[in-house]
Amino acid sequence: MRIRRFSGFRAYALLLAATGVLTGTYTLILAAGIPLLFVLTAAVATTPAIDDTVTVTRELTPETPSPGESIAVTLTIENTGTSTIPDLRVVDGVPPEIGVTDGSPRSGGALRPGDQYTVTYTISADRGSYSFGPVTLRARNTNGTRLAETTKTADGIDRFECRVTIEDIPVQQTTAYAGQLATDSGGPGVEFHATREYRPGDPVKRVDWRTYAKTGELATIEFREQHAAHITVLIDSRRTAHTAANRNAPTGATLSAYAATIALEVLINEGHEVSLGALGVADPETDRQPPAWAAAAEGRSFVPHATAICNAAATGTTDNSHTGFDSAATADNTPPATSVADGGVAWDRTRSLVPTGAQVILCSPVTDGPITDLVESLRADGHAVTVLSPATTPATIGGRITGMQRAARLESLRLLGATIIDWASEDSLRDALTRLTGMGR
Amino acid sequence: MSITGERLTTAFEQTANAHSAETPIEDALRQTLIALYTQDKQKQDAVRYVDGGDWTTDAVAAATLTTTNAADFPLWYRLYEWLYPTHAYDYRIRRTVRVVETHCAEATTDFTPAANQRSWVDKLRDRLQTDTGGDS
Repeated sequence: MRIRRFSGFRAYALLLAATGVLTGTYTLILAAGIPLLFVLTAAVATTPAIDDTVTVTRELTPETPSPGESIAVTLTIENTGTSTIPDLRVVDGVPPEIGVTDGSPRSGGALRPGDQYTVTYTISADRGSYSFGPVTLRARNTNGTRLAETTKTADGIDRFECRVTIEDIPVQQTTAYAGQLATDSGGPGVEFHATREYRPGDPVKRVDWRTYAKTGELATIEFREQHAAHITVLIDSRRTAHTAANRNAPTGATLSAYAATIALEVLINEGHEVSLGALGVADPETDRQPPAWAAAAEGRSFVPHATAICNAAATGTTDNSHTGFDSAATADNTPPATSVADGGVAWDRTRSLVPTGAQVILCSPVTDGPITDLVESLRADGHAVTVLSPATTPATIGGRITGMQRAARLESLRLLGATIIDWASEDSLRDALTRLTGMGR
Repeated sequence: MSITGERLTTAFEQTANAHSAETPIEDALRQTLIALYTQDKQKQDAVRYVDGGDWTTDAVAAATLTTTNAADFPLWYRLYEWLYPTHAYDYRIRRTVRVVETHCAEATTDFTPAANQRSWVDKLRDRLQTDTGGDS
């Protein structure tokens, strides 16, 4: 494309030349050569070639991010041609659904043959699949009189999926949920049970050296075996939990559902007996009123049922308990008149579903008062409760006030004896879950 | 999907006609403060404590969150509000949020106040007080 940048210079040249001729001034005639030079330069200039001489490569770190995680996008632009591109502007095709949180997808500069420069920016996405659009390239020649514009599909990554993968799970760790119920059988454990005759293969650390010193005979210490107690994972997907720090960020319910998904995987892999409940969500398989519930007794069908519940909790709510209330108002700590968010009255249904003696992991952004009532009820029923709470508060005035309200609620839960894991927005899911699974050791 | 605290933020931003009337923000801040003090006080005592204005040395914050006449705005603030009502409202709410955040950080385990700069009025006042103290 040709840009009429120096078209006015023709008039200057003509004016100077004409004045010079009329007045017989050679200086003016010579001066007319200066604007004429610009006009000639523009006339003979060529458009920079960028269609086949520029390559663009896009990299993402990490390539499969978790919801809400910061994703670093690096765009590398290389001039593979033989001539310098004096002014190359680049705009990456950021997926329209997501926002740039740091840096800019726009850049520009001169690029010599064989040289490259990189554009780095950060994005953050909610769950889902996203595709980058083509990269827009715009180049000008040295004097800015020719413009070339094209779009190129970047090499490397052009789409990504924002999800939780099994690799995110710190599965190498052993959870602290060893169980509350001591058994009468001996084996590995912590509490002394009895000694027995040494058998080849017994661990050296369980040899009773005191008996050996006294009698000269090897004996093995047996500890009281502990069996894992039942663990119930609860996801808060009520209407009040579906708030986010910004339009591009995942909601508290989504983050809770993902944290619960991973916690489930870890606990199941370690052989614990696990059940799952989702507050504010009807059962996706049976349409039963909230909370959706997958009991450990379901056996083989537990995992697909639990997966369906986690997906339903991450995406929406069927919680109509706050009908008549402004959802934003409840998110701002205006509690509803009655705590019926589980489909029952005052959490009765949820409490009846949690097995006796079960330890509870509640994944909730703790955005309202009724959730503290639930924890209080569970504590009163004798359940050990751990609350994994994703923070979804922005830095706005309303967000700051809501953040304080959440902090006050979390503190009250601590006073009730619950263990609190505050999943701050800058923490990774892995860090938060490591604290969850490694807790208490 | 809604943004956390959106209702309060919107109420704060629509201050053109709200500076003279109590908005949901004052009530939300007041309830938050009462909830913080309810951890080691009876609710009635916490309400009285906030209403009395003894919870802070900041007269503006105390007067903002009281529902009684026990705490009143200082003279300079009343003058400021008379001259620039909208600016004064903005200043008063931001200042009160900062003060409550400080109390929240002291009363809770993990809460960290939002990184915010002190307002220019506070900086100027500190500077004036420092200079005055240095001269005397």
